[in-house]
Amino acid sequence: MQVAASSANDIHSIMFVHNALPDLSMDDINLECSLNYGKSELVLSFPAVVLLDDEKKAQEMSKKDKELVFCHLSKDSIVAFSAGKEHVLPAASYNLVQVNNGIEIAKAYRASRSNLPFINESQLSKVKEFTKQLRIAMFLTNSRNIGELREAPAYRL
Amino acid sequence: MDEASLTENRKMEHINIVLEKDTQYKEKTTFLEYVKILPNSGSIKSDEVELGMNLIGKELSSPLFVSGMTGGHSVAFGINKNIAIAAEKAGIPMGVGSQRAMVENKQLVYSYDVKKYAPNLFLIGNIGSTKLLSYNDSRIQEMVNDISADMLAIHTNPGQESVQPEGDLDFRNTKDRIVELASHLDKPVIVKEVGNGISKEVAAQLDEKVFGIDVQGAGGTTWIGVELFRNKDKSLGSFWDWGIPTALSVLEVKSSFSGSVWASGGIRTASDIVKALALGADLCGMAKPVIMAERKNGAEGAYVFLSGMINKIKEEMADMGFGSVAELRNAKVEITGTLAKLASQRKLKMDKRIGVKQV
Ligand SMILES: Cc1cc2nc3c(=O)[nH]c(=O)nc-3n(C[C@H](O)[C@H](O)[C@H](O)COP(=O)(O)O)c2cc1C
Repeated sequence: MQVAASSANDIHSIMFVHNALPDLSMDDINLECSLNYGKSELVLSFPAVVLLDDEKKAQEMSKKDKELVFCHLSKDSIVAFSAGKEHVLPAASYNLVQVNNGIEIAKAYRASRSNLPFINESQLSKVKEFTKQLRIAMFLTNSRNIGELREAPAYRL
Repeated sequence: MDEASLTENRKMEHINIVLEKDTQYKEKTTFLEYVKILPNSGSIKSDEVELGMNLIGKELSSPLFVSGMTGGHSVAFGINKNIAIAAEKAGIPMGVGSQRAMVENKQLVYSYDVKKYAPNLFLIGNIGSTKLLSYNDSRIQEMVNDISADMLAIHTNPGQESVQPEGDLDFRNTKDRIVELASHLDKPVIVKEVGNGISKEVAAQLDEKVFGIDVQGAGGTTWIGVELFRNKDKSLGSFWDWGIPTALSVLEVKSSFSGSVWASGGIRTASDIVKALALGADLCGMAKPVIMAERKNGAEGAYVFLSGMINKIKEEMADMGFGSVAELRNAKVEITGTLAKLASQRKLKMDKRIGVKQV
């Protein structure tokens, strides 16, 4: 599993192909993203996780903020908490990519199937902002959901 | 304030922002810098260069047009009238801005109705793609007739709408509505962006359904940028440079659309125009530089700018040994750099005369 640096380059090489005639309304856009592991599923309603250094804190914060998924990275797994519930994802299946705005979340999903965008604690106040940006990026690529976004026409610079 | 006055205010705000602020793309260019034309041997004098062409039965002096900008209030009327007089004198088409204001309020027709002052002008009407959902065909036909337009441009601007505080974020069925209207209207329809460009996927949906596509690609005025000056939410700044560069958009559209293809968005110099024509564009358009010239020196200012540009196109072509636009459009062209890379990636279908040089 890799964190940030190498995959960040990858997302910056993505330039979406603008769609001048999206056949959708902004209200049609669904940001949900489900991560399947083993026979279980973890649904992200905001499609980036919050990565924290401290596992206990991740669990506590997930109880308070039920919209977000808080994670802690251990040796070979990503321990994720959604509304206090623990999900242990195999770290090898995911490429954690730090994102700095909503367009980068979109790029992360478009760049690679294994990319999992994350923000850190200091970016928590930006979730609303990132959500709005991501919705616009999806609108302008005619993507109704993350699945369509992964297939949206894009250039690689 | 009622909706009509709000629209009027917004239009005035747009003009002021365009005139006073830096509304250019910051990091993105038109990619025309990656287009190299292989000159013809032999020299020609610039006054021997023939730029004339025919557009749906009307003669034009050159393949240049003024992109649609304004209408709906008294200042806009002055701008449209002056540009109309200049464009008629220069022998080229001009577009008006969105006619929505006059559809809502008939008293505003005068601000678009410039053929009164320039009867031989080739005039292009304008309406937004999402507005077509609320206006039926006969209302649009009447709007076109009211100003005796020769053609209708339908602008589709989801980028601008996304950032505009009062933007329209429902584009469902706009493509179908454009196609339906184009088959009923008694004038040809051209679909235009406002600076974010048009892709081959979108162009394919319009192939054989509309007369033409005016790419209005990235690299010139960014309408996302213009709206960002009006929007209190500064977090959308990351969209400033969104869009398909103009040269790439011309290749995208030509790859899947067999109708007329117009190059625009960031066209600033005669060299830009000559390159866009060599890529296969039928006409080239400019917006911001024309309104700047008009605001400085009225109709005369706009005319001096446009006729000067036409002369420079002739000089540029003469220097390269091309005597006509037809010759230029058969020229050997080399595309390089990022343009070559992205055009290959997208497997864009190009004329054999366009060579792709990747490093
Ligand atoms: C002041 C101004 C107003 C505009 N208003 C409209 C409009 O109402 N409808 C439209 O289709 N495009 C409008 N545009 C966009 C232009 O037609 C053009 O697509 C865009 O400005 C890019 O061209 P440029 O780089 O040459 O300015 C406007 C442009 C300017 C400068």
